[in-house]
Amino acid sequence: MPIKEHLDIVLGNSVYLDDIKLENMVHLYVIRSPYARARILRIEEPGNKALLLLTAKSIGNLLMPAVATPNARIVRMPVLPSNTVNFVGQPVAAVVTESRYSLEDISDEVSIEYEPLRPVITIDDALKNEEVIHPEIGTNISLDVTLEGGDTSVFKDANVVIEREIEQARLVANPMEPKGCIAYYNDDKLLVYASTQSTFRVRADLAEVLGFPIDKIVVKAPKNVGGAFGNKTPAYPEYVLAAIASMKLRRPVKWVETRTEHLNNATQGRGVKSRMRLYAKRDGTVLGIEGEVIVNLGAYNFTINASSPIFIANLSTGPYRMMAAKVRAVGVFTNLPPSGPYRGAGRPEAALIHETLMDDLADELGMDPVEVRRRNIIKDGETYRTPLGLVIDPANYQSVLEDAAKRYYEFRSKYLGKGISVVVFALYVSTPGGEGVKAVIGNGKLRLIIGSRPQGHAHESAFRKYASEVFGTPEELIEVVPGDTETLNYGVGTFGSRSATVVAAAITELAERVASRLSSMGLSLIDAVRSKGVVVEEEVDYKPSMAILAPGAHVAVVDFDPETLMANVIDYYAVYNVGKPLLEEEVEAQLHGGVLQGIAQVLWEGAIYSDDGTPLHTTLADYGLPSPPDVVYKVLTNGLNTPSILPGGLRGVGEAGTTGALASTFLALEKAIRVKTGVKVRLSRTPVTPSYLFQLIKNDK
Amino acid sequence: MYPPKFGYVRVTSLEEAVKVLESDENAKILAGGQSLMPMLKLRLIRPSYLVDINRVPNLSYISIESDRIRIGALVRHHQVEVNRDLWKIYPALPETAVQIGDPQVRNLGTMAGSLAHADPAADWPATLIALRASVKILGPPGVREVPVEDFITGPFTTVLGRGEVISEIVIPRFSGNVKSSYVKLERKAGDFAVVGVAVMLRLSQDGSVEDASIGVTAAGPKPFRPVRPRRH
Ligand SMILES: Cc1cc2nc3c(=O)[nH]c(=O)nc-3n(C[C@H](O)[C@H](O)[C@H](O)COP(=O)(O)OP(=O)(O)OC[C@H]3O[C@@H](n4cnc5c(N)ncnc54)[C@H](O)[C@@H]3O)c2cc1C
Repeated sequence: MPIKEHLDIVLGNSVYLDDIKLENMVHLYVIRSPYARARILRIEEPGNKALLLLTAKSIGNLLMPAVATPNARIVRMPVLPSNTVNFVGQPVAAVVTESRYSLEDISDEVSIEYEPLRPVITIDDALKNEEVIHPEIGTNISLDVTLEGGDTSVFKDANVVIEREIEQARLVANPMEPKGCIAYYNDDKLLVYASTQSTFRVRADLAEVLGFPIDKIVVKAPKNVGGAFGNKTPAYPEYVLAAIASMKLRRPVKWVETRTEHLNNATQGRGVKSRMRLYAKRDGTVLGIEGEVIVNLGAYNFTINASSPIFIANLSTGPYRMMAAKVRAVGVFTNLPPSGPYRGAGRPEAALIHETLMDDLADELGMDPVEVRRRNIIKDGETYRTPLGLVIDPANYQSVLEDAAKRYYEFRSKYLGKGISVVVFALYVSTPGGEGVKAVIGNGKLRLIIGSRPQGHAHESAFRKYASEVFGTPEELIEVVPGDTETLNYGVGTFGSRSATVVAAAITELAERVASRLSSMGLSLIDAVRSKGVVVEEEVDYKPSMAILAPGAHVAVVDFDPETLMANVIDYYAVYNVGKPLLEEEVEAQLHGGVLQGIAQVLWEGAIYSDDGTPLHTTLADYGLPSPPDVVYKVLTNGLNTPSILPGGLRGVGEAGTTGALASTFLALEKAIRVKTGVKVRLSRTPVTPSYLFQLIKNDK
Repeated sequence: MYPPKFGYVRVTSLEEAVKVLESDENAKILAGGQSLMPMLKLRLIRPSYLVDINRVPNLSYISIESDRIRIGALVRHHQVEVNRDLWKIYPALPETAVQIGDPQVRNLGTMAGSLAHADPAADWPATLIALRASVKILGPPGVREVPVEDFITGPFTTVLGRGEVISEIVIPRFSGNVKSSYVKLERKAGDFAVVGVAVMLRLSQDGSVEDASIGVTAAGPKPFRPVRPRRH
């Protein structure tokens, strides 16, 4: 039986943002900067062909929210900049017209004069501080903090010191459905439909920017969101513009991002440069790590990017016991689109850092890569506090590693002449904040309104099955409805591998709450369901006190052609621990998609900019997005599930595929190159393009 | 991603298309639209009229004759891909077709359109040069035939003059034992070629090579025939 909501999507029976058409609706188009950095000299209006032209002058100096981070210099993104544009694609003005077709014709007539300035594109350029993007803070460095824990004096007892530098290119989220919204200001209320991961977050952001009371804003999402990958959590300048336009015109205003816009719009992911040292004893015991993680934040602080260097730094010790760690976490401004969470959002970056170091250590000591990991991995059942203070809840890291090791050895004897890697990681599940879930019982149904938002995930089927277990009610009586700011008091949203874990925990508590309420009413659940009218309405806003982590281990096999310098993954194995799988095939599907993305970051994907900040990834083909024919391998998965300490006992999986596959593919590729060319390359960037390899191998020979 | 305003004419013969193109130099033929529509949506071109030839009858033929093969202006990549005779006579042709883009592109895109578009990384030119094919051009003064290697003069430029359209592609057939193949190097499935090479060989009875012909694409501003292949 195919999963109901997937069948709807495949058969074209779902609804996306652009399918929603309100009466009297008009369309908004954003005119964007063609320069990475320039002064805006003049904006010439297009006569009276547009219903509305919005510029910084007409809307004022509105700033997008950015989550504050201690010790960070925060520079927020203007909705429309008044003086200087700071990335190619930055909104400069907006026009509103009656028809979508006339939008770009009319925008073509808005002439904007710029005076180009010298842009800052790379992390290295930003650190030089020769050109300062935001003169008001006098530096390109937004954040520069050092995280330190444990006794770093042990570093001097090290017999071996390993160091690896890696620069990961920026990535574009590329959901199949780009972003979009409809804003309708009517009767003193702002109604917004957004293709979003979090209606609550969009509402909070809009309230903050517009200075509007939060209870006057309702944010809803269409039935389906066509992928998001972290890119659809906050509100964007375009949403604010649509809201302002609707307030001025008193008509519904729609904005839908085009693919061309999406490739160079906020937010982009990765863009991380790391230099990390690992200290160890001769027997393979790791003492600790020391180094730095620098994130290219782009032109502004936006959403949670200010703290992203700290997040990566905190995860850099991986699932290993260490005595000490000292990591400098730096965030720099450049003239690129603001960065933001994207598929793993720091987790894959960190896994690449600790797993390359582990393999380098094995190499240096002539040890088996499994043995080095085995020696340092967190014990099964152990609660471990990392030197930087992250508490890793008890799980089965040893067993997960051993299971992957079996496959690793099997692949090693099966695939001669290929590159084979094994990696382990602890996936941080973003449980903080929890989730709201509401039961509405009566009229023949147990309706569950959930705060998470599916983006092709099978939330309805998964939570219906889970609720049926904990409520002890047949699935047919249960209806799961993704909620929004109107139907729930509290909600968070779907990101950070969290939804199954927190929604299941909330449903578990809700079931208990409902049971005690029904017993005080002297009603059985089935009586309550069957009664006419709603007899019980109960919302649980579940907020766990801690994050939990999910163990994972991946094994990749890469084939490399020394003549063309191109590579392919040919076999793949992934072990996971989701605590308790709600729908096994959905867990697998999450891994399949994530693994492809991790592979793609290594082999193809990259938002690449020229020295003057011009995007070279102007189409999906240039960007390197994989498509089905690129999947020339199979992924075998295995669940070794141990319950977490949260109600329901789940752990997450959403970002596990990407997190494992980036490191495993990178390392397997490195090994494949060594096997096939005899050159002991050490890769130091993604994507690993043939031209980069050509240089690397030539220099080494 | 929305095109500028353009006019649309549907013609029922190539002669009619020639007339429209002759009278308006900014009009453009619309065949499969697989190069034209993306350029239009990205506003890289602003044609006055699209001259749609898709309803012109009898242009979708692959005509296999004793001394040549004629391919009509509306033959889609996919038709070449599934043509059993071509797999026998010149496997290089279907081998090229299957490596172009994805099924959607191959169902609509045409060989003639690919040649007229003259993308320096297009696949067809390498194979057609190796097979010594020529392009039949219909224009105001009548018909002329130009070898593929002379037809494309640079990136996105051809010898097509005002009012001229491609009516068919003519591929000569040779007697004896003929082998052909097209090999494409691409970074990802469905990408444009990093480089593409087609080879045709005529073998004598004893298996020695009597005649060899090579076509190369994506290795310069235009596809070319390496005239003196060197030994390595
Ligand atoms: C996603 C994608 C992937 C692709 N991948 C590849 C690939 O891997 N390899 C490859 O070679 N190509 C690739 N292409 C291009 C594809 O092969 C196009 O089909 C082809 O280039 C154009 O043929 P068409 O019939 O679609 O022409 P159209 O797009 O309709 O027209 C292209 C141009 O040719 C002109 N034209 C068309 N027919 C005639 C005619 N009879 N006489 C005169 N002028 C004419 C048009 O006016 C226009 O200027 C790809 C395209 C897409 C969209």
